[in-house]
Amino acid sequence: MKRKMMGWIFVSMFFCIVGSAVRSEGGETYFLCPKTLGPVYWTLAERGAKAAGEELGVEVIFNGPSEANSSKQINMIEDMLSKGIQGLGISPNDAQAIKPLIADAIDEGVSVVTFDSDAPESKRAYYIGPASDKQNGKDMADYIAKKIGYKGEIAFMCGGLAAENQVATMNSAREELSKYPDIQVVATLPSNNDMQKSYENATTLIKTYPDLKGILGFTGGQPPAAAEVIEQAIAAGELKKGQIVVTGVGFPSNCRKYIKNGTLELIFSWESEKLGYTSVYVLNKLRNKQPVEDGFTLPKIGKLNVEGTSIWTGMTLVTAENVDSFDF
Amino acid sequence: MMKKSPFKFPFNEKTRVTWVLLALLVGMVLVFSWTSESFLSRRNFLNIMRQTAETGMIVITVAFLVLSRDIDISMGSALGFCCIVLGLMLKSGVDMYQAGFLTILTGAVMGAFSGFLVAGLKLQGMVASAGLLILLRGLCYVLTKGYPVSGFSDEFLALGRLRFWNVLPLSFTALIVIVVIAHIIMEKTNIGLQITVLGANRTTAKFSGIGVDRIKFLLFTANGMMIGFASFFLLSRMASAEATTGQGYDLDILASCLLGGLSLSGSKGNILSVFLGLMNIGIMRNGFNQLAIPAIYQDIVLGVVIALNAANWVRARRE
Repeated sequence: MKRKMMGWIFVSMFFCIVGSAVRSEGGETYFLCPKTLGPVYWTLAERGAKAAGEELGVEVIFNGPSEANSSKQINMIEDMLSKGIQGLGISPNDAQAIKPLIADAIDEGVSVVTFDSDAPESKRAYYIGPASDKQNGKDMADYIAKKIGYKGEIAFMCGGLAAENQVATMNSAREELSKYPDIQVVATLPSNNDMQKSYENATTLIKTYPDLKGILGFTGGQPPAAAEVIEQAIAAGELKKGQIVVTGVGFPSNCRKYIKNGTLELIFSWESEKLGYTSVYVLNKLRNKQPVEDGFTLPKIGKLNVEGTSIWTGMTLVTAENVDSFDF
Repeated sequence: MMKKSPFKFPFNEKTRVTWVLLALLVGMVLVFSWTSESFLSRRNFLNIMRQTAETGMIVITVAFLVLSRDIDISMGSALGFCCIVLGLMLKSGVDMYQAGFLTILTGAVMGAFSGFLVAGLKLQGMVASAGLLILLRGLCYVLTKGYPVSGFSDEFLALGRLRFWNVLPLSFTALIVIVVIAHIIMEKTNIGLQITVLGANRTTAKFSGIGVDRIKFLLFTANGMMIGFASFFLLSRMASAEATTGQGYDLDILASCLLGGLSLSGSKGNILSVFLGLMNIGIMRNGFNQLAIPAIYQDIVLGVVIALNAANWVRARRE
């Protein structure tokens, strides 16, 4: 008897889930596939995409694999393509593996963009990202140069020396700093994406370069690590407050503490929400054969930069004044 | 009705799992064809077949291991490793059939190594393969240095898209052949009987003159070879191998075995049910994807289905 009951429970549960997922048809459907579901970064991208969908009156499905796995992502996109969608936005886990699938989708008349991560050799119409590596490197370099009075020693902290985008950003920053003859970039320390190593790197920098004026971090983990080490050094009396300026790429969540107490004055961040939002708008433009021109504006974001087939939503400057307005 | 020796199952009980799985399968097809217009399209069935084929092949050899009361959990890493080895060989200009053969050989060596640990050094399969799981994944990172391996010839990529009469993918055809052969081995041959006896009681098996260690060694080696074989199709379909390729597949494969009515305590179940379990999971994933149910909830539902069914199978055996 119990066995039978269990069977019924299972069957009814199954129908409930399927039933609740059935949606009304009509209008266009866009599918956005992030690297994975779960992290708040993607939840916010979903929020942006859904908001744009509502403004435009299109259905937006935002779904990704439960782990950042390329083959599961491809399976999922294949299944959605056979269901029939009009627009497809992908943040590919593997830029190479996704290429044939993007070609297939375009052959079937589906509009395709990439967001957050690009598949540059594919046939996608546009890539939507926060800022070009070149621009970002230049902006960060400009900021720190100004902060240290265009004079003194600067050190770079990065995640890895093999990551293409970071190398491009660092080269651009270096080029910008080379305009100021009194500024020297004395070291570039990779953490290999290990937080512990970032702390060690920051400690090494402080000990090795007593005249260090600034630290520029190129991944989200670097500025808070440098800030933590500097705060400890100040507490131990080894450094004076404000002696070293720290900035770079960061996120409000892991930098909030240091921004509020002033160790970090400003970090360069970006909002995944804008990426999701812009992706849906660009897909809609592609569907309606509207041109995507440099400087086109979107309701919630404003002006966007278009550079070739790349669309930049812009970096967000996070300071003590606005740090609490971000929930990521 | 439960006074049985572990060697013989009453006919109806053995087939019940198969019938329930078949009913579940038909039920799901009905529900999904109602919820999604495109579910019954030829193209969607192609998706399902291509997506289940590679893991399906490995499911079958793992089923043999489970039937003999052993287990392997390194399939995901091994699959990734084989894909990378194959990819690197193809990139360096080795002929694709030679490369395929060498990959199967690589798989066989890996399998034989696990087999040696289990049969020779008397480790449990779980322990031996847990080591291999970590070791092979490490090797994946070493071989690729973190960069994806891609850029293969069109001839190789065409294999992943090849299909007979435009409906039957090559990989799925291979799976069907494997299932049929495996079913015959399990049901009709002496080896099948020996595996069943071994799974039921190792001591009995030993005293009945069955070469326990020899069988274990063979099963692990066969599993490794099958992983090499499957990697050929996976790489051809995915066109790229990265250090994380195959991650998580080990659990998907075991899930198919468990839904297919196998018991981790060995000897119970049959290959046909395992195949149905595999197809059930494949269709469920596809249908859920089409309904755009978030992947996280898919995993939860899948977990519940497997747990309920496993509980059901255990109860059925006790009754």
